[in-house]
Amino acid sequence: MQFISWQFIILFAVAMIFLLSEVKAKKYILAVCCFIFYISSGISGFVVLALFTTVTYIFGVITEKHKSKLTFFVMLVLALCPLLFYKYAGFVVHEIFRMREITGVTVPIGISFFTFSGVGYLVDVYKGKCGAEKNFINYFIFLSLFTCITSGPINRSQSLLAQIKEYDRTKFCYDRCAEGFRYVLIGILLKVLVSARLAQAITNPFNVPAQVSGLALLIASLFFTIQIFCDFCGYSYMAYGLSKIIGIDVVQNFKAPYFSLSVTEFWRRWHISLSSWFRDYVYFPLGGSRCSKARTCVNLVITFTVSGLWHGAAWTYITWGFMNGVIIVIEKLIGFNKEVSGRTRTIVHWMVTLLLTNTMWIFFRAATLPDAILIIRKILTDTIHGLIRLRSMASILELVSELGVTASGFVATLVGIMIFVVFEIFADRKDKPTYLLNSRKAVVRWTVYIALIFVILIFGVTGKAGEFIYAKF
Amino acid sequence: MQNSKNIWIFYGKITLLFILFVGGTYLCNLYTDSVYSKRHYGSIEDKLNTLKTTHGGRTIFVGGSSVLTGVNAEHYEKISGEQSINMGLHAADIYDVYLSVIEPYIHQGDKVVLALEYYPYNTAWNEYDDVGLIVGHESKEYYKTITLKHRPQYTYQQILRSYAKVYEVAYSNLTEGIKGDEEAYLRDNITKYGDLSIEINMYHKNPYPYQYNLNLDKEAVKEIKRYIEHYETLGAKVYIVFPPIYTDLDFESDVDNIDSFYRQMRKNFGDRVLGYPTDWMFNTGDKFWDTGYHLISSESLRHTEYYYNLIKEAENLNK
Repeated sequence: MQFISWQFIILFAVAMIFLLSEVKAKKYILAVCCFIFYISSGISGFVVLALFTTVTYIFGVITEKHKSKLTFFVMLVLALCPLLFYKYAGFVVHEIFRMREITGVTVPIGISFFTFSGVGYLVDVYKGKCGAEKNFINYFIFLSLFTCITSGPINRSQSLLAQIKEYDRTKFCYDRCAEGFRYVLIGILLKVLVSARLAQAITNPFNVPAQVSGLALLIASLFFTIQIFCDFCGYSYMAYGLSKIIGIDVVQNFKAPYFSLSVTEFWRRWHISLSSWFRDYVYFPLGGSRCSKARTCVNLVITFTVSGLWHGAAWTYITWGFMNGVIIVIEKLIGFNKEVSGRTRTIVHWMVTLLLTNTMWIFFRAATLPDAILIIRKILTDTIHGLIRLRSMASILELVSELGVTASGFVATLVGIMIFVVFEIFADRKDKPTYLLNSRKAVVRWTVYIALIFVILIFGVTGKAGEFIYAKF
Repeated sequence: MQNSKNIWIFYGKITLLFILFVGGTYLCNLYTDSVYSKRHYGSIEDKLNTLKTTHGGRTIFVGGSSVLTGVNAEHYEKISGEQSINMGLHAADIYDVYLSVIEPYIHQGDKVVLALEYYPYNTAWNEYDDVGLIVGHESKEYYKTITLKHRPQYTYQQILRSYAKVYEVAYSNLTEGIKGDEEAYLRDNITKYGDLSIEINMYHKNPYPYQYNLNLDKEAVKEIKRYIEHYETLGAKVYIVFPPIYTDLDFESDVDNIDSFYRQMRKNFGDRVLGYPTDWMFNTGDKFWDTGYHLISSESLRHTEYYYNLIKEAENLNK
């Protein structure tokens, strides 16, 4: 069930009516909503979720009572088994053992996300950071919260479980609901108008890079840099807003990442719930930075490579993760990740960071490693030539058609990018992307709401192009 | 008390925005209808009207733009003496949807000639992510629901509306950006026989390197077979022919590759399969105009005669 679908709108509307009212046992209603949402994706997926929930619930209770390292390690491995099987078995069989690819296996929705939530919970119980949850319904809601399960954020037991325990006492708050709604509106805008539009201009160049010019590939790679952010951030804003409306505060996943001044900073602003999860549950257990410099560097590379692998079972993702790790190590060694002063230095840092992240995204998006290398090679060797050729409208139109879009579609895409930049500036400067929608004057607010709705309807793209990228992970 | 008043204010505002959203969607659909009625896709209404108002014993050519441009129904009528209709629709490779839309108008004595392009048959195309070319085949969640038993619920307008945005991409990917093509793909350029009356000489783009292996998709075969069996129970005959194509346009035109595909087609569809893929496969662009599926007018006439000869031979064999 997609957020942008009639089924979800109906489910959420009904949920909202009950959850915002004074009914008792709201928690059970929330649990039913989570159940309905998840079961709509298929019974087999739900069986996996139910089994995982039950098993990790029991593990949590056992871990609290018996702090045996070996027992805990075994439970951790067992908890990771469904994720390892569904996401990586096919890759290992096909790529490592060179056997026939496994087909016909449907990956349960959100398995990466609920597995990490569950594993994080077990580790927290083991370390004594929180007690084991004795109420199964609370724990089920924690893992399967329907506003977050599809693509995160990955919630921590200390914050989300605590809220769920007190959920029956949650009261309606107008300001909270209104703010939640604003986040949902911005999320839809970023997703349907910006991300889905950009997706149309990216597909053709990345699918057949050999047939497309270097300049078109450069534009496509820049578009992808924006698209993946708008897609995921759009989803995250929706998840955050929807959760807020029903009275739950989840972590914000993005903080204007493309304003970062180093790749290190980028990872403090991008997919915050995932990067902090990897920091706390992979990097720190490996030793973090509390060991020798060389070991710290190795820990960083391992952490980021595993993070790349988390995104998908493909060499492109692994390479992307590895590259991030290596660049962060280099930044650490040369001091590029330190605080920057002075306008010129800030601009240089910003441009270098943008260039590095954009280059790495090529590996993330390309179909294969050879394709990624071909794209980079063509960008480096063919772009200047392409720019020189851009002398007439016909050549510009040819470039646009190489991207696989119409001229009007391209203009709509550029408008979408401008909207994205405006919201990002407010997200960075005011720490709030909803700043523009927060005007005190009702006339101004409502004019903006209505204008945004019509912009979404007229220029937005839905359908197949509207599916979320991160739902694949 | 204040809390319950606020909650109703909140619900009221959300409802108002929702009404605006629904109203806006309705207005946008009206706009889409008026835009698409003038564009090429509007011609589906004219073609269906022709099917509705003519009687059995027709030769109906069904397929995408290779049929639209590669078959001249008017010429077929002259040489065969049989009423003929060109149901080809540009960038409308939702063959499943299309076959269900024409189904109510197939009558006893009709000959339905399926001239589908290669990619609807192909397994790899199911994974192909490009919204531009295949609008239905890769959007399984759309066309899976539109099966024979559900068909009465869908009119072609609903289908067009559902696909409007996606059609826009499909249409534009294949036609815009090339000088002059917006003049060709308009509803007004479709004749009463369903043929495209206009052609503009354009440069022919280099084909993409082969994007898939030519293999029959089991799902595609199952769906097509269902329609074929249904048409035959209605008293129609069904033939399957191969479209004209520029060599290596989508798949490697290797002799073994093509022969294997041909044998799979014969195995699945039997004697209904007429001709051979390479009969109209060329490695020169002079027979095509804007893409490697679209024959120029003179070649279209020859191609129509080729289909006529195939069908005549098949009919003589069956006597």
